[in-house]
Amino acid sequence: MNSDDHLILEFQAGSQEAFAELFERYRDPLYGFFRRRLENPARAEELTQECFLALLRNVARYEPRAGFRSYLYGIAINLVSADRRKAGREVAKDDAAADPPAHENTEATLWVRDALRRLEEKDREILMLREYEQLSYTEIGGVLRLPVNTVRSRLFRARMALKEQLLPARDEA
Amino acid sequence: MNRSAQHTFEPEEIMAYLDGELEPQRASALAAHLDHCAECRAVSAGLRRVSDQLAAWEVDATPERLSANVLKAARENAFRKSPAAGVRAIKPTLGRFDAVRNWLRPRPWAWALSGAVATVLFLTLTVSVLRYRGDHGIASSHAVGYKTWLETGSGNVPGDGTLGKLEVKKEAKSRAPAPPPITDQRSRVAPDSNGLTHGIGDHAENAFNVDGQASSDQASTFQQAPMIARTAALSIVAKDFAPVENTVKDIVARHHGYIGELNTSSPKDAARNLNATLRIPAPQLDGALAELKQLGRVEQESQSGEEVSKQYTDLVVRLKNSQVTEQRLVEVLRTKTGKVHDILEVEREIARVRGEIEQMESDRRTLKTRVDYATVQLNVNEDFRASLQVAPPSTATRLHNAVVQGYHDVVESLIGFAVWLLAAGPTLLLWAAVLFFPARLGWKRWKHAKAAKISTAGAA
Repeated sequence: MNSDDHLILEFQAGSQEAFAELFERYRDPLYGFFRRRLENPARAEELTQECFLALLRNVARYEPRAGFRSYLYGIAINLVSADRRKAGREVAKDDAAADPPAHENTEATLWVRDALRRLEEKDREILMLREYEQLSYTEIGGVLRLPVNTVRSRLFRARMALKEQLLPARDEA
Repeated sequence: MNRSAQHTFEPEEIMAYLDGELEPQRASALAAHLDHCAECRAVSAGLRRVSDQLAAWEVDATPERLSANVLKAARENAFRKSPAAGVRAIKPTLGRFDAVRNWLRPRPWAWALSGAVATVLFLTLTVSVLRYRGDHGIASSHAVGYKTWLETGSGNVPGDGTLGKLEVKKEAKSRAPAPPPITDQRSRVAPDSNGLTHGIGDHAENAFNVDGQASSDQASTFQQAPMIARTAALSIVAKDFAPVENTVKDIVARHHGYIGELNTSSPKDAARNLNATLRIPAPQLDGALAELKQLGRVEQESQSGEEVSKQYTDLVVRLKNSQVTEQRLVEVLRTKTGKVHDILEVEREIARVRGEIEQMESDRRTLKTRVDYATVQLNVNEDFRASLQVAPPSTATRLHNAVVQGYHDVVESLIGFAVWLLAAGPTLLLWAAVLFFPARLGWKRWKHAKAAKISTAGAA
């Protein structure tokens, strides 16, 4: 099985099969990435598509330095940031479209989302990249341009904070 | 969290162990430690529980149309062999400025091709402009030269174009006064060391007998009138050019002169021109010039006179002395007897003297002709009026000419580019070598700064 870095290099050389394989691997994770960070599922879908299009657009300039996953999620992080800035400028938002599907409104999910929202933004991002995207400390550092030790300490801090938030809530429930 | 001092592992290390981020040796030690340390196991369990609880947040399935859109873009990308070409196919999902960014994205082959085309166009235009300027500059130079020539009689005149065949002339620095009639002025001159007296011009020649003795009535009487070799230049523009040549010949014949040289040119679609060198008897020069001026509008007139009295006098004296010498040698040869060697020596001397006499005689005649016949440089230009071309060149001819012109332009531009490359190439290479490393360093720093900015923005 080819590694991601090998596939992206093949795709850079013109292999469409390599891209299809990469897309197959990261379609769901990327959609989940955007879906957990954006209220609007349609917007999450658009940004997922845009992320892959950005990959297509910039593959010629890809340099295998920090690894493909760091590169891909770096694009995704930037897209989310841009979308949040854009959403901040837009006054009117379609609230109905922003509502998550009913099956996501489970009690556990709501607790998790609420607890994550209370975290400091940087810590939350590190934690989510680790827990949901399964990035290593080094990859997280590559995405967020942070030293590995910083990633580890912040991740620990976020988990401890979340532990204190989640457990009492579950106990109370 | 209170932990006893016996724990050799920090909770953070336990977390790293659970995440698989701990070094192997350290991980093995921690695994062993967890077996008998309940407190550390509690930390580990707490961390696991957090992860488990976070995993409860699941998202809905990825829409199928996402795959269709992206894979379609990828296929178009492969078909167009341009990573961004297919991306444009899905505009609704792109950002506001993505179209502009797509258009400005790096496309090395496109930029290289555009640069090459721009360079060729620039060089072609430059060569054409330079050539046009060169022609215009030459034309201006001609115009200025001709104007100067008209005004001052100095400077070059055009040698081509509608001005026809004009020669370069210089006006006399000061116009010599019209010489008085040669036969009107006479004066006496002193005899030379040989006891001979000399005349000037025709009269000087007549002042001597064949045997070198001064004639009885002219021995002491000679003309002292200055000998002037006169030259004149006329530039005339004639409206009716056809009868000009015949008129000139008639004028010359009427004044008993002759034509030294006569050239006419009749270029197509340009003014006709007559260029002649006329020899007119000096006394009749003014009359001849007056008649020549009737040919048309006088654009330029100049007259000059070179006094050759001293030159002629010296020549005549030397000639006479040589003639006397020759006569004496002939007398010696006839009356004296001697050795053969002496006779031969006298004969050789006679031959040498005769050669000198002939040369001087030729010079005297030439000088005398210059004085007797004034030289008139005549230029007559037609007052040209371009006629309407009734039958324009055919389309085929024009196309052919255009092709030839285009070919010449291409060759000229290539040669110009090659010349420029050879001239500027070493300098460009030098500066490229000098600036390459600083530029690369700057480029890398810029990229790093940009990447850091993107990361910071993403993090924000």
